[in-house]
Amino acid sequence: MKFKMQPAKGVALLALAAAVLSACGSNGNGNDASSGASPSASPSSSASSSPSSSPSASPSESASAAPSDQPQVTVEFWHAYGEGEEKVLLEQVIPKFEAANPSIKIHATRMPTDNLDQQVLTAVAGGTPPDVMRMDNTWVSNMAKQGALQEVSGFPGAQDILDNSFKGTVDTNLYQGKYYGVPLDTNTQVAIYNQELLAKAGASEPPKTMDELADLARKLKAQGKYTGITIGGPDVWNFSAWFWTLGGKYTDDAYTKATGYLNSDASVKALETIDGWYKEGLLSPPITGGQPGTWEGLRGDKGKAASYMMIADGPWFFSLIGDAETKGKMLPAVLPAGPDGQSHSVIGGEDMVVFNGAKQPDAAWKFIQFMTSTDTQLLLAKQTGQIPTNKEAAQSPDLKDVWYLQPYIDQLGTAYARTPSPNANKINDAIQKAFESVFKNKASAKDALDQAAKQVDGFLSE
Amino acid sequence: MRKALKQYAQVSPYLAVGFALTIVFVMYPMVKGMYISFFHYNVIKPETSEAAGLSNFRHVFRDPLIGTAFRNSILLALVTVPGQWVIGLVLALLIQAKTVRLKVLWRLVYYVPVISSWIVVSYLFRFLFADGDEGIVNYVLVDLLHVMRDPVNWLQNTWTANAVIWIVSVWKGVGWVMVLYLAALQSVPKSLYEAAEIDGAKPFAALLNITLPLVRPLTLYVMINLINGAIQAFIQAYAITQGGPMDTTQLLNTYLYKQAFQYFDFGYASAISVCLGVLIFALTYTQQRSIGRDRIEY
Amino acid sequence: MRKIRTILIHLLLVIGVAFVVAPFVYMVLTALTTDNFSLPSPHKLMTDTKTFANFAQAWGKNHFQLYFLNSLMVTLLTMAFSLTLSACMAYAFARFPFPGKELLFRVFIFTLFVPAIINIIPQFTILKALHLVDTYQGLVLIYVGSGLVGSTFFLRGFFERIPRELEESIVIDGGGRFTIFRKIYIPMSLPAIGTLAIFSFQGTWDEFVVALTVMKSEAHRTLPIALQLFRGQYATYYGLFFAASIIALVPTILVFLIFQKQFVQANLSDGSLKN
Repeated sequence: MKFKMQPAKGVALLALAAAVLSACGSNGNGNDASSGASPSASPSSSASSSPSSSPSASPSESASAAPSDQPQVTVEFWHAYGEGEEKVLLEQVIPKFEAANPSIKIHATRMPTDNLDQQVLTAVAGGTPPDVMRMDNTWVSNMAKQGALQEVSGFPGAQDILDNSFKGTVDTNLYQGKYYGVPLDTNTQVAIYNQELLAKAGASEPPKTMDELADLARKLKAQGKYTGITIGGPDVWNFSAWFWTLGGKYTDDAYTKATGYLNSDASVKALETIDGWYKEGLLSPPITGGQPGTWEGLRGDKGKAASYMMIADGPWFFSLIGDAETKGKMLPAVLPAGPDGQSHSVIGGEDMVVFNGAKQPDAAWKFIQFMTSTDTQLLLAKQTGQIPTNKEAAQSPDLKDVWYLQPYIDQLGTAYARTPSPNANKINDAIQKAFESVFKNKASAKDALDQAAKQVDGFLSE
Repeated sequence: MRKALKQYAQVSPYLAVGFALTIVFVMYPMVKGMYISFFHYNVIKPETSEAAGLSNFRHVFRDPLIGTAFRNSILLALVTVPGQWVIGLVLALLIQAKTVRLKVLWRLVYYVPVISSWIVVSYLFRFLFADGDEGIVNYVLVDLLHVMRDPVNWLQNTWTANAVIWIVSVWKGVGWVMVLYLAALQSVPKSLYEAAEIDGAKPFAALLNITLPLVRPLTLYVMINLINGAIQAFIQAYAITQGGPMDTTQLLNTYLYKQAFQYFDFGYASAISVCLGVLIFALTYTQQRSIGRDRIEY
Repeated sequence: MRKIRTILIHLLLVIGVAFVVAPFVYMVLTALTTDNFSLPSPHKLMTDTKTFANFAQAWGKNHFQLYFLNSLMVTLLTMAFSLTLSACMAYAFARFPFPGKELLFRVFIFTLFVPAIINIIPQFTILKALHLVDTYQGLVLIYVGSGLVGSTFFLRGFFERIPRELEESIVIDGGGRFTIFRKIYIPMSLPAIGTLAIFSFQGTWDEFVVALTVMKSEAHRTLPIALQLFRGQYATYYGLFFAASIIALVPTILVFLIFQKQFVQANLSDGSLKN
């Protein structure tokens, strides 16, 4: 129905084009055409008189028009789920919600991930935000600072959702002591081993400590063009787990200061250890952006043998590639432990946020409550491999159905969040640059981290 | 005065709509940008923006990354503008030659890069120039042609990464220049060449003395557009290097984008934009009189 | 001697074509292979089995066909408006005297040199004020509005090359300015207008950021957005992505083939130039 309207609109616009054309002409025809009679059929004026089909306008219209005591409202929901997840969302999750809440319709829009930050900002600045969005959790704090988001404490049951979620994921919603969203899903990186190469290095099971891992990498290297350790890049998403596990830190626990943490002796030593591996040839090329990519290196590529013994990545590695190519071949395991006997991976994931200027904040909140409920979280986990933030769902025995998920849940227990700050982007860039400069031999670990710490201090105090 | 009014009345039917649209969608955003550059601007709640005085501008001159971005943008212009122009013109002259067959085919093939999507082409080149023996370019240079002993890490070094950005830009723009000159060359009266041939002029001299002067207005148009392209260049850097390694391939435009949409610092982004505008205005000030005044005389 | 020169010219052209075409060969080969999360290595390209599955899949996914039609409509409309308005404007600048003309023109040219990338927010605010968010009218307006300066600049040069003497016959017949415009300037500049049509088409067809910003409903989106949706949140199937982009290339090639005839026709015959 909706789609069939377009050609008609197109014809109308074409007619408009013709009108402008003739207006341009008829006015110009006589030499004394007055400027007052300038083309009145300008596209802007006549176009604005035609009915706007803006979706944000429709819910309120229908709300006031519907006579029943349960007014129909439409909630605009933005997400950047992949294709597979979107299918589950549209075919299972949303129908379930709409069945339980007949008065609410969810209008889900899939956004491309490129330029998403710009899209969100422009929509909010232009006063046309969606009601609710599944937002990368590193953005929430900054968006809150800009005034884009509603604080959640006013919504019913907000505290329950927060209490029932893992603390690391809850913290990502903080801005100046208040929460501007609730966790929806989380993920982290664990080690994924190519079992064949692991055996080739002489191990029957994943290494328990970083030293063991490095030893295996050395043994493997002696056998040819293999690398034992793959760090996806010097960016904070890929690098943090290694830096933290080896004893490094970015800031104090309250995220207020970097000097004394980012450039502490332990941090310098952590970075030097990794740089030592790199110089020794134990690290795969992706650390500096080289090829093959992590997945191709680990799995091999048609006609080309695998050359990376391990990578670190999120659960989507398994859900996207599928069981046939991973089960029994690729082994997920908690990252090897560092000096404190644990490994500390990085928390990623998404939060659900309600925008300032949302047309249907209350209905949107109902949807959020539904999405964060144990049942929905379990459903999404089983169908898409998305890790629940809801503690109850995360502990459910049902999750055992997803064979690769357990190491992720274990890893999350000791994982850290990236610095939540309105300046998170700047902070992460500064840290990445410090790491990168060391691998590029542009600076010593100590100098690079000293400088980054100073910069991050500035960003934290802004 | 009355004459002026009458002239405006006569011209306005032709000018008004387009003028209004340009004001609304080009001029207004520019003026707004100038205004914003004096604030620590909050796009979502503009009323809460704090006045910044000249601090955004002071920041422009202190920010070391501006220097890098500026250098890269200038180099991009210095390499790609003449690069596209020379190659495009040569191609047009070659295809135009009397003895060349299948003119339509040549034109189409050389034009295909122009009409393909910037985003797609950028990803394509990112992988063509992948490092090790994974990248086709390395494969061809090392394994097939043996012109290099070891594969180059194209995208991991500042200058090779910049070079890849330049190569894409030239590769994609050459056909555009070619098509315009092909059209223009058609309109150069053959009699002029015949006369030159009788005088015994060499082809290169004919090019310099007859062809180029005749297509001068087109050359001006092409140059302005190529420079415009170099200033607005964005996707090639954004998609191929993301400004890396270590921000050494940032262009002014990618840096601006980062400040605005990733750091939300619109005041600063606008200040960079304004500075660039002022700089270009100053650089071209002496040339501006000739723009639009340059007429063809046969 | 002449023969050698001809062969040499052809040889040069073939070498050039190799550079132009090689990346596309790689692109097409990639589109013919499956299971690519990154682009395939040279080795894989040569050994892997080839299939058209990606093309079929791309055509059926992400509302590809709908977005294709949307794009076609938006692009054609933009082209029509752009050509009409810029021809009018170019005529105004070429053949009307009015105070401040050159100054205004210079200001126009100047706007080409200022980065336009953050203009999107003010532009969007204006559309919002006009209630044109999520409408094709709004999108076409931005496209037309932001492209006029360049096309006007281009056409003005052509219009000014047309000898004024040609106008006389119309004036004698009692025709006004518009008749002159329509009967002399437009037909004489068809090559230029054809060229502009191609530029306008390709520029609009490829545009992603503005389209995504303006169009809020999925049903209203254009093709470049569909292309972007082939890039996933965590990984991209490049075979699919390139298959989709090859399909997207077809209309532009068609438009080029249709309008390129204009390139061949000499716009000004020798006679009219000899005065």
